[in-house]
Amino acid sequence: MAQKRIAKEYSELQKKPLEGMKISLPSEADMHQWQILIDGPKGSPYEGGVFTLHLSLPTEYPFKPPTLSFKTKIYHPNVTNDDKGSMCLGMLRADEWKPSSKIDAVLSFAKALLLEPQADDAVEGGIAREYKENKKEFVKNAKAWTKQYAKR
Amino acid sequence: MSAQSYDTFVLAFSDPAINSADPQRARVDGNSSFEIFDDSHVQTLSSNNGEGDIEGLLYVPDLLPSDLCFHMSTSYIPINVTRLSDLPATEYLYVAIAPWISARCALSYLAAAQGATAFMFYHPDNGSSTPPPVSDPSWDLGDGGRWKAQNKFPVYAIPGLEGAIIMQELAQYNGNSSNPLIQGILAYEQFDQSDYVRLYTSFGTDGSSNLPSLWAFLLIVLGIVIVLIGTTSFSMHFFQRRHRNALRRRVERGEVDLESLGIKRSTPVSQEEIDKLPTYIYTPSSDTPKETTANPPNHSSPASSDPLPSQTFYSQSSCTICLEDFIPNEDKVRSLPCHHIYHPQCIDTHLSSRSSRCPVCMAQVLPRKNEPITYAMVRAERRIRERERRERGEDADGQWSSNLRGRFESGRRVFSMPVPHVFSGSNNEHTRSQIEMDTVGGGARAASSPLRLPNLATLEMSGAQSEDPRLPPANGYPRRALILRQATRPRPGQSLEDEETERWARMPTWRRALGTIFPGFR
Repeated sequence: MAQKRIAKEYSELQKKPLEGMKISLPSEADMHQWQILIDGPKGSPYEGGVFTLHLSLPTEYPFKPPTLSFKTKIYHPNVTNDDKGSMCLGMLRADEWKPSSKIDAVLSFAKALLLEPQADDAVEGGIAREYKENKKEFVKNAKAWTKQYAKR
Repeated sequence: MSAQSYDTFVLAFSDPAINSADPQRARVDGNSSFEIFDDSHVQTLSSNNGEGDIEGLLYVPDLLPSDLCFHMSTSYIPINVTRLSDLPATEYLYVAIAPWISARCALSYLAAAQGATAFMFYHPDNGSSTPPPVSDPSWDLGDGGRWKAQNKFPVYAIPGLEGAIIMQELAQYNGNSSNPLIQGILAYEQFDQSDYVRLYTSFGTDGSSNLPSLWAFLLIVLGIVIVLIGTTSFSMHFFQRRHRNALRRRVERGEVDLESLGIKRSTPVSQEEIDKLPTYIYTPSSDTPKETTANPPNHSSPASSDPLPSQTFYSQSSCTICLEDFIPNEDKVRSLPCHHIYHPQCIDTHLSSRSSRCPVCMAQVLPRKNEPITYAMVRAERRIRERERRERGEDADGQWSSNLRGRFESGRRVFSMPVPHVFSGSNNEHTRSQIEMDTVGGGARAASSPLRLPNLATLEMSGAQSEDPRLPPANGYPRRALILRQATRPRPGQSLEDEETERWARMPTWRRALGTIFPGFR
């Protein structure tokens, strides 16, 4: 079932791509690993950058949630600042995941998170604090990182 | 030990000096001789060494004739009163008695009474039936109480009137058989004429009522504390129980779902339970869907007695798990109590392996009856409810009936959600997106059952879709709700029930006991 559903979702997203996102399969043989190129949304400090994300779909998909990680370094309260770049997404947690959730919703959510980080549910406490208390500094840092790591 | 009572009576006894092997003693009947029993007016001036039975033959200690008090006492003490020399030297204990003339004389008497088991004082000029209280300055010996430690016996005070009487009787019951009174008693009691008849005093120090006042005070305080703890515990239990019963009723009515709030852990459904859920052959016509024979006939499913609202049924054209469209007149579908339909092979996997909740609306599939609900769950649910209400800027009055609130909220959700086509009604729109599926599901649920929780599925989706040009921008409400939901969670991937169980296991025993006594205590 997983293969069929993933294929269906993939082809739907190819037919009707989400704005500012390019989805591809690094290996045609493995439908479970997706690569996503996402443009920094307009109006966010990430504007002008392009971020590489990796979406991994478990074999039990859709009963188990996919995992999403940033391959491009990003200055964001909800993304871990290590080589994993794990993203903290409420709906991707094992106990909150619902089989009826679709990948386009996951990706849309990730993009929305770029526009509006959720400092109250952060994985990077320092960045979250800066975002809440010194937004100017946060924007400056996020822009600098975008320039340095996410250049197109 | 302090005394509660004393008893002075006449005792006839054989002379231990003559007959020590077989001592005879007899208490002479008080009616025909003399007896004073007082159990309400004894004051304890000093409780030193007052252990065991305090009793003995009564006597007046001898003062030296050079002592000024010797002369001062003569008017109170008859000449032939019982002295130590009038008593047998062995076998018996002695209790001294003397008038309390002055502090100095009291000290003289106390010094002269060494060897006695106890001392009885009385104010000779005080005719009242009650001695002054211990705190009275008339008992002050001017040394700050040191005298108490210096004397190895307890000192008691009796009423002045009784003391004076005893003093007179002490002169009567004295001497040998030449005294006609003594002779008569000895003859009556069949004692030898050389035997003794004397006054004997014993103090009643028994029972728990003679605890020192400090102990009594502590006991009273302890009692009050216990009563306070008891009533607090009782009322806490009472209120928590009431809240819990209220929550249980709401859970049973389906107004609240503890699992979707992250309060209870999700429990997978057994195959037996899954088999009880009705299945149908999917038909696109407006006919009432027919149940398949696969459904156990002896089980009365909610759908068989209460046909599905066709609107809801046909608005779901595909299975949200495999995303495949239902093939009319061919595909078997399983309907959950929330009226969401799926391929049986899809939903069964989900229910048996993952969760007992509908993948779309998170409504419970299992009947919510007789579930254990802990006080912690009740509190968590109240916290969430209150926060939700604050989020929406409502008054925190809690006075609404839950029924009214349920109606208000489900209505509000349906009409204020930022998704326009809640009831699109078009049956076979094959390009229907996941988002719309969710919304229809939420709407249908709101219409069919007053489940009052915001449809978080819908909120998450529409929050995520705020950038989607197909949908109008979100008004901020869904995002807030999402943050709320995440903040509410105790820890990612864990229900409050797990958290509580873990916390309970980590707790020291005394904290557990405290938690049991005071259910609201954290």
